[in-house]
Amino acid sequence: MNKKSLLQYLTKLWLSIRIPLIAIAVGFLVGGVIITITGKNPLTTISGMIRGGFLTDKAIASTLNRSTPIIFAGLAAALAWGSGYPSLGAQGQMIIGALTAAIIAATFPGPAWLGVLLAILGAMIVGMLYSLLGAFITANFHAYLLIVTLMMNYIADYSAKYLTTYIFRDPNAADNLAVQTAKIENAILPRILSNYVVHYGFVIAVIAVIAVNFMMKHTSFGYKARMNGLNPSFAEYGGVESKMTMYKMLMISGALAGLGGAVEVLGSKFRYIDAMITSPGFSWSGVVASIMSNYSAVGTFVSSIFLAGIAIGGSSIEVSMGVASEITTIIEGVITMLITAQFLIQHSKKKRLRKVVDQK
Amino acid sequence: MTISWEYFSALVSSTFRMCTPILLCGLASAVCAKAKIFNIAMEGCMLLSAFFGIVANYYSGGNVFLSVCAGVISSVLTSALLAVFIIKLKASPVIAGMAVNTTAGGITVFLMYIFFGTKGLFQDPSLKGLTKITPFFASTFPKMAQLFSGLTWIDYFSWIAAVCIYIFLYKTVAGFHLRAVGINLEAARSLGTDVEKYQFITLTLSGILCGLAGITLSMGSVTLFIQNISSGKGYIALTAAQLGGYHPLGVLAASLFFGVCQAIGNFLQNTSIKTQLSAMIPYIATLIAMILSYIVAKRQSEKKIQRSLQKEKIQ
Repeated sequence: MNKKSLLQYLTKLWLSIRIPLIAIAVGFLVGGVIITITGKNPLTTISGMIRGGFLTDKAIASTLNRSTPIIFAGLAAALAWGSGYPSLGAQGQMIIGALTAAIIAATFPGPAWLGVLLAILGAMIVGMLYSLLGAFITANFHAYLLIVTLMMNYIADYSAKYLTTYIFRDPNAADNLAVQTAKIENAILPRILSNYVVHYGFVIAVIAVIAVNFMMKHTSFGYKARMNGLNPSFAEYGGVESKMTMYKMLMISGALAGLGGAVEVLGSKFRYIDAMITSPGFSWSGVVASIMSNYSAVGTFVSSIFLAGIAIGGSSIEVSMGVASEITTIIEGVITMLITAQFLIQHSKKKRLRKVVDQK
Repeated sequence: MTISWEYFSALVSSTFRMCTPILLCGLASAVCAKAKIFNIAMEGCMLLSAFFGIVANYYSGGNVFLSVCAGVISSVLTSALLAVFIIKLKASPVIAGMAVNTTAGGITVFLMYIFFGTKGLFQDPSLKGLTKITPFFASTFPKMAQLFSGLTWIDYFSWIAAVCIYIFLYKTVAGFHLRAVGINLEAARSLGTDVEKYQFITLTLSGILCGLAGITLSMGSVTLFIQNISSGKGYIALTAAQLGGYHPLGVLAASLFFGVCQAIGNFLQNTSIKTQLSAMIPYIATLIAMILSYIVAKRQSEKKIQRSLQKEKIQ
């Protein structure tokens, strides 16, 4: 009996990861073709990419380090998109969360642990409020949430640029051109192992994954939100208050994104640096991770680590083989297109239908 | 600060130039919306076209015609690919469109590194921009002509395109079929319209408009390519289409508004206001315009209801 349930579990797991795996394979194939066209050896390049992202202990540590903000952005996206509200606002929320955390942690005079706590809380509140503003505009003025959040991302980015350049600029910067805030001295998230870059922010990310998983699968609020994501009119008919769900979900989503920005500052960069969120594209990677796993929290966690790994691998081959690291973005794009295209699902459905017809 | 004619005319001509990419993409979005396709990939199409325009320009030694062709073709091919994914493979238009946008950002930088060995900005003296057209009345009314200084044929074409698309949508049979698809897909299908074919052609051809928009970015008032040169104009165009009620002439009015905002933003860079703040103006204006248009529309519909209620009372 036990053996059978294990088998059932494994088949279920296989069915849920089959399509992402095929998409990843095709993504690498397309990446390989592009590398071949540019006159490099695709096999050595892609194996170099995988080695640089996953196969040494240092690589795994930097992959986990990079995956931390992506996991938060992914959870934020999984909550918002999975309940039917496609928001791209995680980027703006991360930016203002990161800036808030950097300012609080650098100026707080008390003990370090309290500084970290306050910085994280501040970032979560700011992210939550910024997300709430977007939700408010969307709900009351019949605007597209997608466009509202995109515009708010640009506004957050330019505001952060302004504040870092003119108000909170690092007075001790060696380089005059560096747009960054002062270095945080004490209030930081320490490394888990002193030799590796991965820090306690990753532990917070794991806790967040467990909490979100619990909320979505074992609470009535999560159930309502998921129903709303699957079929809004049915959910409304069943008594789900769509507007309230949207406000609550987007607030939680914004708080998670703000937390992601804070953790990146407190554990990895130790200050807010201009474009530290936008340039690596954490927010979009998070959206891709949540789409790859069909908005499940655990799946988002695994996909985020994978995406972080190919990003780290991508930057390692840029140095060693002269292939621009943007190949990662291209592979990511191909994977997203294939997963959203559903033709793999349709294909397997057709196969199943044919089987049924044959049996009859 | 005194406002001289020179200053004013520079602002007006800058408004026209800033308006063009938003207008072209807004028209693309409006036509797609009429055929019930949510097209968000204008940003990516524009970026690819801007890039491949410059690549063709560089390798053909400044052949503007070839550059325009290269840019438009890249944009059309991307739109066709997107159409296959959205219409044939039933992909989510939002996700597929955003994937196109981010991938376009990646591809342009990736190829820029290969072709030009840089990742930020590419500029070369051998590059040639679009020819500027001096208005025919320049010799008789030189002051009036200043309002249209520095405009290229694509700028003029964008206005003609708005009118042509209006005529196509509202005065031709094919345009009528297209709008029927948008109003009621099933009804149109039951009348024998090949809905998928109409949608596919609309989305693919909207690539031409985005392609021309991209060309104006990299070869219009300046001739260079910068990483992410489209900077959210595709998304602003989406709002312009929405504000214009998906009507070509409405889109023209909305794009002029965004053009003014961009021009003012650019002009404020020369004053004491910091660049980071003035660069925000178009995005804030977009949000405010969305909110205001909803309030105005709501008030109008309330007035209409009141009026019809009064009529009923009289009767």
